[in-house]
Amino acid sequence: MRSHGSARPAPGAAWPAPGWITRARRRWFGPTQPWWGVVFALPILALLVCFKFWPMAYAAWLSLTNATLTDRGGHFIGIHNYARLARDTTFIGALLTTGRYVGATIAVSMVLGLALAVLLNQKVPARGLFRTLIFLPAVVPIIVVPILWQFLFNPYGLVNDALKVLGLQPVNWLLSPQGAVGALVVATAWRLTPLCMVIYLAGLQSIPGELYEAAKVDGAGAPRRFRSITLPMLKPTFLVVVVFAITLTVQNFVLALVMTGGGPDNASTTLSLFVYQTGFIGFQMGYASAAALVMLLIIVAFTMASLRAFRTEE
Amino acid sequence: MNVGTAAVRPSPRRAAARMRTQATTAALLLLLTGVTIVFLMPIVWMVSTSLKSNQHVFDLPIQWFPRQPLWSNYPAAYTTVHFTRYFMNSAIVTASVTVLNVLLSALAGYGLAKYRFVGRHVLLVLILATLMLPLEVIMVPLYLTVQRLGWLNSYQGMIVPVAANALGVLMMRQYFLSLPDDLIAAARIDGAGHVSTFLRIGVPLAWPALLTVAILIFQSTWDDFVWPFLIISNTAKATVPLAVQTFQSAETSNFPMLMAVSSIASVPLTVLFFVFQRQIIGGVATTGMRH
Repeated sequence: MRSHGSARPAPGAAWPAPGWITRARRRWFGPTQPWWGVVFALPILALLVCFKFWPMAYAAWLSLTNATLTDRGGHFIGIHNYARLARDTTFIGALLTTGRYVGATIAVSMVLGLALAVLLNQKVPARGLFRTLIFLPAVVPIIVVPILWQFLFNPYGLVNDALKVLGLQPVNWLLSPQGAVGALVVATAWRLTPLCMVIYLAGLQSIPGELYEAAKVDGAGAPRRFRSITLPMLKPTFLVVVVFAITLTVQNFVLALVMTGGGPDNASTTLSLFVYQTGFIGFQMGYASAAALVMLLIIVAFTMASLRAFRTEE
Repeated sequence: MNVGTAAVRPSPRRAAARMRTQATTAALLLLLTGVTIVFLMPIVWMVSTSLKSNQHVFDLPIQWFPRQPLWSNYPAAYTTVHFTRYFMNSAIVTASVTVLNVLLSALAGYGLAKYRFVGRHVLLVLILATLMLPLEVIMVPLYLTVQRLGWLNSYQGMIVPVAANALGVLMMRQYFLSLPDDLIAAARIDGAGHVSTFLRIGVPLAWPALLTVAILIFQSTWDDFVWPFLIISNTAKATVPLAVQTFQSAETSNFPMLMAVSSIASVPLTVLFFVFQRQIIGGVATTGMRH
């Protein structure tokens, strides 16, 4: 408004109203030269078009072809790839595994992360130190996480030692279908929880302290204050954490690739690992792209659903 | 607790209340210590194993501090993996991506925040939409594109396709929006061109935001495994995460060495974290916020 307001005649002035071409020209080539904004954005736009939008369109096209690594063009085969996905038991299995893996990981990280954030939001000595130390798993390089946990979940590893101390039966983690997914959930949650905690902490610190003071004066106990103030006020934060966690867990296949290789018998093959294996081990670029688009659809659908679930007034 | 009401109260009750808060604090401390130990246990175990010999890895009872730490595992791991070369490769790739990314983000963020052109909201939404598009969704066509460009096994292949990141644009735009327009208008009236206003007014004022973006991008690029893994098959160009993975698939059961390699590979990001802790934690909190 500010930039071109002066160029426009006041309503009811003697000047004739300019046509839309004149208006558009003034808007673009007015004294502040707003089109320079586009010039500044051009370099990144060029890169995004080449390496995000173009591959996206290319993926959509590939998903309708039978392209392979050697025959990169392939032939147009319509929705054949999608029909094949619907019948592919490995793909269906990968969908179910992703559901279990993502659901369990997010549930653990969100609850644990919130609990930790609430603890660290209390007046305790050295809470900065605790925050730093608990954050450390998120600093460990992503490639080290599966290597480390593969070792910890070894039949004779630390996890089974801990189970024995607790008087429980050791589990054959990485070689049983249930155990492999469980191991992936633990390893992912270990790294994700501190990240969730930090986001929650920022949310908790933005809740005005007067609300708690007022509730205290009204005689509300700690559980009541948590339920009636903390949880509702954290609604936007929940949205952030859910979207963040979904994107991170659905897309990530490094853990499954290195820790279990998708095994045993594809029991821990997640959707993104399926895409990788189909495209880069099986060289079926068309088929892999169809699966990748299904993955994108899932990410977008879940993001939209959580936007809905945690929508606030604004 | 209000001082006025507290003074009226009989003192035994005050003492009891203070006891109670002290007990709560102690309980909280105990709980936090327990949680911290659980979260740090894998890391401690990694370091502790890296100092053992292979036949004592699974010894019970567990030795958290090996009686005779084998410090020699570290130089051995460093030379077997040729870490110097891979640290160099990682440094080249990460530094280039960071510089490019910060530059592009600052330019775009400035353009989107300080110029009111028609369609700026559409442009912003278009850029931000790429945040919902993870690499894993487009890795197949991106690989084919880079292959056609002849960039497989090359530095530019690892740098250029990941140099544009909408997150940086978002953070820079947010920062530039908070700068008063008058500063820029004043410079423009004094006759400075668009680019020189950006360089002389925008960049110097925005450098806290530039630093945050740079650190976040540096961290995520150094840590990235998937993209180099897809396009690099020649070990001469490999980055640190690739080298670690290659070592792991060759030496699956040499646990002390594997843990020493993992520890060495963790050093740079850990140092970065301790130096820029405020920016990194703040960055996670706000980038999450802005998603």
